[in-house]
Amino acid sequence: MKWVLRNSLSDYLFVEVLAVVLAAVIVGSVTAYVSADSIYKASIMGGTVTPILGAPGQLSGQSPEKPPEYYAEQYLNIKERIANQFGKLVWSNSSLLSAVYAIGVLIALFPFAYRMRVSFVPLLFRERTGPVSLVLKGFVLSLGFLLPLFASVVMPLVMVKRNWLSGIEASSLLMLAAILLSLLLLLTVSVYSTYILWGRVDLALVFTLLLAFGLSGKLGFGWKTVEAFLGTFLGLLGFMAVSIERRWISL
Amino acid sequence: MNWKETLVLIFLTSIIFSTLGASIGLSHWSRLESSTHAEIRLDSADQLLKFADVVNRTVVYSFDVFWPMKPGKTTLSAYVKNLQCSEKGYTIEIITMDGRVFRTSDLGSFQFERKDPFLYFHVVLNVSPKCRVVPSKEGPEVVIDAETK
Repeated sequence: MKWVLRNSLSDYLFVEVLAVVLAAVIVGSVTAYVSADSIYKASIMGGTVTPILGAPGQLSGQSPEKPPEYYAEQYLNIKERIANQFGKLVWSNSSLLSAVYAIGVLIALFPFAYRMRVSFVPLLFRERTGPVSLVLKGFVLSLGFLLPLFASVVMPLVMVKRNWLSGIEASSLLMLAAILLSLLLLLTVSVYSTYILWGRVDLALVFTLLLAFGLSGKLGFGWKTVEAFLGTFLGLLGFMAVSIERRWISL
Repeated sequence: MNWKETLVLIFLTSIIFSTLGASIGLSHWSRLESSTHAEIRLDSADQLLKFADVVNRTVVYSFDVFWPMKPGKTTLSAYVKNLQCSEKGYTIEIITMDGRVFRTSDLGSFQFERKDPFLYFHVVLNVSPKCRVVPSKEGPEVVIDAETK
């Protein structure tokens, strides 16, 4: 493992560092943009906005004054509603998010995968193809490389929870984070498996984008989406395992 | 540079960048306003105020305010326009959502901390019978200025 890392991180080092950082910035800022836009829309939709001129108020004779606790409860209800709306609105940008995540995963992964020769098919420069053990190690390592990407997806949601919507139950924010993380996981394994099988970045990107659009366009905001993504993730893993096993036999 | 340092460098740089991007981006890209000036007409209270003096009763008018607004330290000031009072005039009672109640009988401002993308509070206006509505187009209005820092 040490040898692999030392070898792969030698002369392309700065390209690799730059690639991962760049991908994390792209993924993080797009998630932050979508979150910022959604929190604005959610806070308009979540409550009844009082017009600047003229409010529907009431005279004391019409209904008795309520205690402050009543308003505190109202306030928590509004906040919970806004959190729910926020999750839904972020997920309504699913095609943008999945396209950006797919490109981010590709940017972060490619220099490393190319340098490690994790592909079975040498199409580009007739370079040697990677042995099976290297492919597996490369896969595990690239999951490690993607940790910054996972962090930058979750970071805007954590900030929204901490600074903008504190004190709510946050089940919908948890679900949103789970959906986005499973989407990223699926895209990773999709890019990786297509790259090792076909050895071509363009095919890997096209396949991943098709998969991401096809799935996320149909899936709604719910735990079922996480299940679908994780199921597809496991399916691709199985596919990769079968192809690696066949490769092993043929060697 | 050995590989451990390299990995730490990659992790730290990207996490720092994405934290910065998230914190700056969230406040920069959100279209939430940071200040609001509102003049809220007391629609149905208007007529009643004219006769309050005759029947010698205090008029109580209340409403909720909900505005999408940036979170942070909020300064709220409120007063009533187009209402002329002799000594004990009106009182404005503002109930913020952390359960605090602010009372003012003149131009007053309050400060409180908010962690929501909206401003929500309840306003109760007590007008004593000593007050008289100044003839104008709009009638009596509660003027509220809210600003977030």
